[in-house]
Amino acid sequence: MVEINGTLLVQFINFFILVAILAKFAFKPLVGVMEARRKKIEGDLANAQATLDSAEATKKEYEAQLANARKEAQAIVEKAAQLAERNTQAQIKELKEQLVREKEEARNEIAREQAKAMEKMREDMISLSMAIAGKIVAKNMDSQANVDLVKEAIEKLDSKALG
Amino acid sequence: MELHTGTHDVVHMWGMAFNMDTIYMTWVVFAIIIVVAFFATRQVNMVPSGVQNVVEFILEAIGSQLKGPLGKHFSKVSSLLFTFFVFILVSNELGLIPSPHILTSPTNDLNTTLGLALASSVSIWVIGAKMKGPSYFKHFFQPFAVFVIFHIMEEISKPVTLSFRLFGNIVAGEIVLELLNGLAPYLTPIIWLVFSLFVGVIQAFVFTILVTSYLGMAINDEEH
Repeated sequence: MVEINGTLLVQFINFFILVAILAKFAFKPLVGVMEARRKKIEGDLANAQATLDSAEATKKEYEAQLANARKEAQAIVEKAAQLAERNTQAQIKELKEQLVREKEEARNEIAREQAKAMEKMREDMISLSMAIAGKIVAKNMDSQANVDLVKEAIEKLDSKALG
Repeated sequence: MELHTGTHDVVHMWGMAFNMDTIYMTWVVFAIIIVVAFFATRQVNMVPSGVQNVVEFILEAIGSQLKGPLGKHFSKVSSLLFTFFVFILVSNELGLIPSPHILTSPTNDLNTTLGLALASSVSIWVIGAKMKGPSYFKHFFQPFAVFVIFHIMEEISKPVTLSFRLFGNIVAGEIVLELLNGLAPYLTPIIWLVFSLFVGVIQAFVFTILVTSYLGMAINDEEH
């Protein structure tokens, strides 16, 4: 039943023939493609990781740029507000000064008009006084007539002076 | 009841005897492996499908177990180890296909298992010498020259244990299957058949992993 014979030698040679056939036509192509696939997957994973890292870096960069832009916008708004405030204050100040000037001018105008009016009144009083005096002298009137004449002149003066 | 398992058709040529049934069955195994390999490699794609997918799965599963003892040297000897595995696997399972004494396992013949074991020993010596040069043979004389006797005994015992383990498991499994088939046909042999299929895979794996281990010891510096 158990006998070692020439089959041993045949099987020994047969095995190495099979190794040679399979190594050349089966295992090498299959192991090659498995290795190529492994390398491709490793490469793809490395690329994916690199892309992810790059995306993360870009995202951080954009976030930093956005933060800077926000800060700059805030600064611009603050600056504009300050400028507007300054302009407003300057305008108010200018307006106030203008008001003061106009008030002063108005006051001066009033004073000038008043002085003019007073001058006119004085001139009218003089001319009226002259007219009264002329009438008194010309008519030689009695005391009662003089009094009435003066009263009349004063009334006229008042109505004229007051316009 | 006469057992068919373990008997061989012996032919005498050139002063030697040859078990022709074993040789024929070996060629059948070759044919099966080559046909499967042909379909697996007919159109090798980066995205595997069909037979290529199945064969790649087997190679990946076995390769992941064999890489450990060999490390970086695995790729150089992977073809040898994969051939051991697929040849023994198909040989073990071939005898389990129900047939009227036509299909038998080549591995139920000690000549086959011993031939494989000797092939493993010779391969280990050649690969060891190729990778480490003549210094490979120094370890036979370490730690002292007298230890060469023990090393030679070890080198003899390795193929003997490898071949008898495989031969014993397979021939015993087939004998029991034949006995059960004669004593209680149908259900009981089917249960044993399923168990034998499992044993066939395990024995192919054990043989390959042991050869890998011996090879690892031969080519890795830290082992000597």
